[in-house]
Amino acid sequence: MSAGQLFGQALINGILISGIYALAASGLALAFGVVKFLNLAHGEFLMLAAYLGIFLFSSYGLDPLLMTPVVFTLFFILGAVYYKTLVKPVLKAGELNQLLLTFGISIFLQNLALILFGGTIRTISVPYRTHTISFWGINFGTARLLILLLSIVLLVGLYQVLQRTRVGRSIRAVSQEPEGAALVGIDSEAVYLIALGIAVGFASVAGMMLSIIFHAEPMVGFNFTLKGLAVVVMAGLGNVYGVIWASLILGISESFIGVYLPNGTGWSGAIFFLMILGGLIIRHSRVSEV
Amino acid sequence: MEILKIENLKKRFGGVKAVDGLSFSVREGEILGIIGPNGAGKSTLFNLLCGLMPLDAGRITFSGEDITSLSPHKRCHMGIGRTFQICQPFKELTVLDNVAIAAVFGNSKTVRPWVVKKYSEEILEKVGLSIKKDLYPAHLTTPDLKLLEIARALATSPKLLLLDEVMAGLLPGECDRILKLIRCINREGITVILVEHVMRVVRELCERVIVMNYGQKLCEGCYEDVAGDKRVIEAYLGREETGAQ
Amino acid sequence: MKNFKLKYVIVAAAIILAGIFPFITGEYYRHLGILTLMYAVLALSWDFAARAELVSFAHTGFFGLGAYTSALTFLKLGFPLYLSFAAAVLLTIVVAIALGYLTLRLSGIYFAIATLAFSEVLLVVALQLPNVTGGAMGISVPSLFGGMRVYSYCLILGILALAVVVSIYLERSHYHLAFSAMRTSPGAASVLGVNTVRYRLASFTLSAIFSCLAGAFYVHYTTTTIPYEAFSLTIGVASMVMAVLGGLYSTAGPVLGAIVLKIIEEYMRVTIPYGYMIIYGLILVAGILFLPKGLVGVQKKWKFLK
Repeated sequence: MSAGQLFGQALINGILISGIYALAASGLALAFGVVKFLNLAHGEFLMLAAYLGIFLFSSYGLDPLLMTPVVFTLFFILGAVYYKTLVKPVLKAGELNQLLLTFGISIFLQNLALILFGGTIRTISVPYRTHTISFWGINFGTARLLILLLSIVLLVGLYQVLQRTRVGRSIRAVSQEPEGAALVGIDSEAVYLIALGIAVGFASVAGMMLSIIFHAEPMVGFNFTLKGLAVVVMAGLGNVYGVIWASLILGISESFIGVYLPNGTGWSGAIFFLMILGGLIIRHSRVSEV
Repeated sequence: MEILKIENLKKRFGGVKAVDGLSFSVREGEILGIIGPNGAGKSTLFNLLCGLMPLDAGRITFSGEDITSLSPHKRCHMGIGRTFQICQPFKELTVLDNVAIAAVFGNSKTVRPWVVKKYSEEILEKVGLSIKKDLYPAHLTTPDLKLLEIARALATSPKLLLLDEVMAGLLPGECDRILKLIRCINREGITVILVEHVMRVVRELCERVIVMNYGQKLCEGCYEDVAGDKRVIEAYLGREETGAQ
Repeated sequence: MKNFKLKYVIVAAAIILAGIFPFITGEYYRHLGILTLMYAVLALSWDFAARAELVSFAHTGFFGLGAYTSALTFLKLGFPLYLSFAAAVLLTIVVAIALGYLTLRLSGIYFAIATLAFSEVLLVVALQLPNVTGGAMGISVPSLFGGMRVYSYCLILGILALAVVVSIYLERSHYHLAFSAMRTSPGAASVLGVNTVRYRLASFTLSAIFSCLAGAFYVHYTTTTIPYEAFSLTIGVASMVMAVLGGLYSTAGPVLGAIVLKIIEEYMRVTIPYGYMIIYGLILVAGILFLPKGLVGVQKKWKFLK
């Protein structure tokens, strides 16, 4: 493989993985931007969906990607229930309490998965898992390509909904000016419910993708919460639109470090830390303490 | 002798210029009133003066020293005390401890640990809160909370005291009590800057008044002069209704 | 007056019990006692940061940093035990101040995220430098005091006593005024002369030191550790939940929380060997949901212990 091809391959791999990051992070960003709720248990929904994907394929032979509409709907409802039962009671209780609550839920779900499914890594092999398409000596994994396309479709769909529909306008209104939105008669309660439903739904789709190209294990979700946080922080907390390029930066820089640094795949796990720290310090320094 | 001098102060929030090129100076020992319609930038000005917000441009000189980039606690140690428009008592602490914290951490003259209690009690005595010293702020009335704000600021032995609408929400009788207190504080040599909406207080206390509008200085002078100024009436009442006074 | 006396009786009884505990019990309970005391140190150290309203996930990182620095200076540089502890503390102070300098300007939630990332990154570093840290295989040291648990018990009891003394000093001195004020209104505290940045940094560093000591003790006591254990988020989680359950901003609270939770955890560990940490998740969720004032409510309920 030539140097140019190696570079191209690293770039392509980074781009291919960033779709899944964008999907996971956009849910986090939506929940934070609209509901002002930082959900540390976000990744656990991803993890649960990954297990579901594996279960569906191994028990019934259903392809996880084809099942996304069903799973999305299911998790949308789960997200709405999650909002009603756990999120709503602490919305007024201060952000640190929210943080501790969702962290508690995250620990609970991780260990529940550990008890139910054990600590072993589970994988499935869909027929196209190892299939690749080659252009100019650069390999495109078919599964990853499909996943990227699906992510693009979903994200474009989300932006269209936010921009063009009545629901989307309500969501944007509530995220920018909750009191003002209430004054013009927008039911913020319903908007929060929908936003969290979409957030959890997107997480579930990302989880289905994980089951195809990666694996399921109890801790896999938390990793995505952290990476999602890195993306969201870099994009500007709550900024759904910035998620795309921030995900690309995360995916591509991880990929390059994996390829060019000695023993780089291990180090790529540290990239998100720099993104979080850098992003936070540049964007969210304590300006005034009043 | 001027104690405080600000030059060309600027602060903007997004597209709003809260303070826009403000300059004035304060003489040692005077009571300066700052008035202006809501949103004129008065509270922002106080936040800039005590260091709670960084400023975009300009220069603040206090007692001959440049304090433009000093942090709030350092300005406090130099002798700038302030009260908050919305009272910010420390809920978990008693009235006495609320004052003690200012005496311990905010006083440039070191208050020895064993005299803190006595020192704080004296301050509470001065503002007339000593019988409530062991209560928690949740049990205080609005005027008492305002007095507590003043007591805390006094415990830092300020040279300059910034009072942010201490009279807001008080009955006339309660106003008189605080009015007397401010006069008494001033006689001890403490310079006072007063942001106030109750015009009677401004008239009775202030030798000099600055009127702010849209973050700028509209005019300056003694109370009678500015109260009669056409621009001031316009600022408060709108252009059409001049002469409504 | 009656309450006043009762309190001292309870405290005296607790001290006596803690002192004679290792001599009246067997090896298993001695071991359990040692781990409980270690977690009491961790819970108290978490509370030190919480007093300045810092919700920190960095304790995991400092625990692992303490464990690794102490073990490595002991093994590779031949430091005696006490010097290896000192080296760990020294490095922790440097790291805590550097991290604090970068992150303490961030407000609540952002600070928490940054500290979470910090702990995760130390894990990556420990895994990625196999020549120094032994990588995923971990490190082994000779057993502490030749495996005499009674001495280990005394050492960790001493560390806890130090933490308790520091905590009581913070509670009784004027510093508690500053911490309390910063929790209610940092702005008002700073214009009244409280150097909020300095006190935040101080409480963060102090809390890091005790996490580090617990970590350094842990590695010598158990004689072996791997990155996934020393930098496991469960350490930070446990200390957080113990402090929250026991009652924040107090000395007795976190210690009591550690004792109660360690007993529950031990019971759970026997029943559900994998996933016993679920209890920490449950308690955290229940604590936040059913105590309407959140953490403050927990604190009020336990006030009689102060």
